[in-house]
Amino acid sequence: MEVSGTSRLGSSFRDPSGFVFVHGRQIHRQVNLSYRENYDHLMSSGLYQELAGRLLISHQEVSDPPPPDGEQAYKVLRPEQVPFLSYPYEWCFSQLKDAALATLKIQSRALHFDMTLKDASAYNIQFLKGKPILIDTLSFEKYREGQPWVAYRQFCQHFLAPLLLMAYRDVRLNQLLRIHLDGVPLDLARTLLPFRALVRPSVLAHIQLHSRGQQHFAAKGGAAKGWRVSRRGMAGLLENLEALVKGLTWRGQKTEWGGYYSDTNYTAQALHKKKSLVRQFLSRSLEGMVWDLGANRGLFSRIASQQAEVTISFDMDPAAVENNYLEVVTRKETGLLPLLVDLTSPSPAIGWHNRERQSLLERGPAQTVLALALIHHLAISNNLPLARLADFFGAICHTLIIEFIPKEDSQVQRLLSSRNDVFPDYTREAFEKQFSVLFAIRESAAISDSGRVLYRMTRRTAAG
Amino acid sequence: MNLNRISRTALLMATPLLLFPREAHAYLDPGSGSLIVQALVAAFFALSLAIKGYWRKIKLFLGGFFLTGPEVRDGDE
Repeated sequence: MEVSGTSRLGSSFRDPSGFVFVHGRQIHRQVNLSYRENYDHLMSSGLYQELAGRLLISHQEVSDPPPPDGEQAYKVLRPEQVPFLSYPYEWCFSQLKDAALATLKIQSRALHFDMTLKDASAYNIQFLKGKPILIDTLSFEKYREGQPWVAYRQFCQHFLAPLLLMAYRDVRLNQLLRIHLDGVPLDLARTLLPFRALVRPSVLAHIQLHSRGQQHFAAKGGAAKGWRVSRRGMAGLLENLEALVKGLTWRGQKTEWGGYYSDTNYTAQALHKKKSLVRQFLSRSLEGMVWDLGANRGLFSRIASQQAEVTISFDMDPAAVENNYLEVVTRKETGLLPLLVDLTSPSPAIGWHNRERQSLLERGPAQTVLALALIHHLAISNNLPLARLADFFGAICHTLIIEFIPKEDSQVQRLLSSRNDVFPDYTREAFEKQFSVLFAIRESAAISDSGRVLYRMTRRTAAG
Repeated sequence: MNLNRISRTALLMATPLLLFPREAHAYLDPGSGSLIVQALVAAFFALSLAIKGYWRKIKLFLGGFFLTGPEVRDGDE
């Protein structure tokens, strides 16, 4: 029986220790009686105090709401709320790497308090205030001397294999995580990794030997019975994994958009004007979250994040997202989350019942969407009619700050240079007409002499 | 001498020494192969850490014989 006003999350069903539910638009977690001993140890051993707020999400024990499944319940927790859930296939190389290192650090610290991580899912890590943090408070269990790390396989599949593939083969292989929800199968990683990676002793052990071992023992149930890992062995294993992950780098940052800001047709004066207009338009709707679509390295996202509490900075280019994230880390920015999303095919709902991982649209709408120097790519490179573009923006935001780039603009001319111009309707008038169906145009201003115009619109059904 | 180099040389002799009966229970299937590979790899690292520890002691000991002066430094770290 479920208490009215609560709904259990579609992703929360594997672990019998408890589950996550939403009540009053806030995430809560029921801890089941079966997890009591582990939960009490987490809280009393000092491990929670050691990790909370830095590597583990902090929480309060609450009596309201009551547990949805009262018979099983031990406690109800209200964790610090994560404003936007992101998934590993939306992370850049360094985000996945930092999430992996956080997981290893947590496991290492847990052992000092006689606990161990019973899972090492990349989905248990979220980015909060610029840093990776474990959101699953029930991931710990008491450590028994000699017990192997039961999450080792999951760590290798969720973190190590995709990181190796990104570093050694192609950074776009992180998209394998979108197909393989429990991480990249190790035999697949072994097939795809180049020889120079596979001969490294650590890769040989964690991928090659590991994958062969999985295959060899697959049909031999109980074969692992009796195998033991000493504390010293576990420490060595974790140190080795950490050194391996730390040493991985991706040096392909110079892709399509590498020099975008120095390659636009903006004069310094026009860029200054655009920044100031964006700042001004953003100040009209200060509440809620901002999504900056086609954010590149986040120049305008940073203007948004000075005003908004949280800004999500989306781009489809792995190098742009990587550079953006590295800047977040260097500048210790807490209000900005760069993510890798291709708007022509945004993250779908996946997993069991299509409910384990939400689609991008299910995670919206945002209060404000910034769509700067974007629409011509969607309309011309992707042949999207303006009406469909307006529909999409109407579904994801209340306020839209959007730049229209006319056909005469040199960037548009560049897109048209190698193809037929089959876009007779791509005009400013048609743009205003189509967007006015769903939005009320509140203000607009010319950015440059080239005819680029910045608009602020609000969704017609929304107030304002 | 770094850990990896010691580890590589110690691998084959190391594995059977630290393996004793123990069962693992988990709500996720850790996979028999994964557990066995982990136990082998971990045993190998445990032995390398032990060898590294002894190696440092031997060097300190030898250093005490051959060097004079108040400080004996382990330059391999």
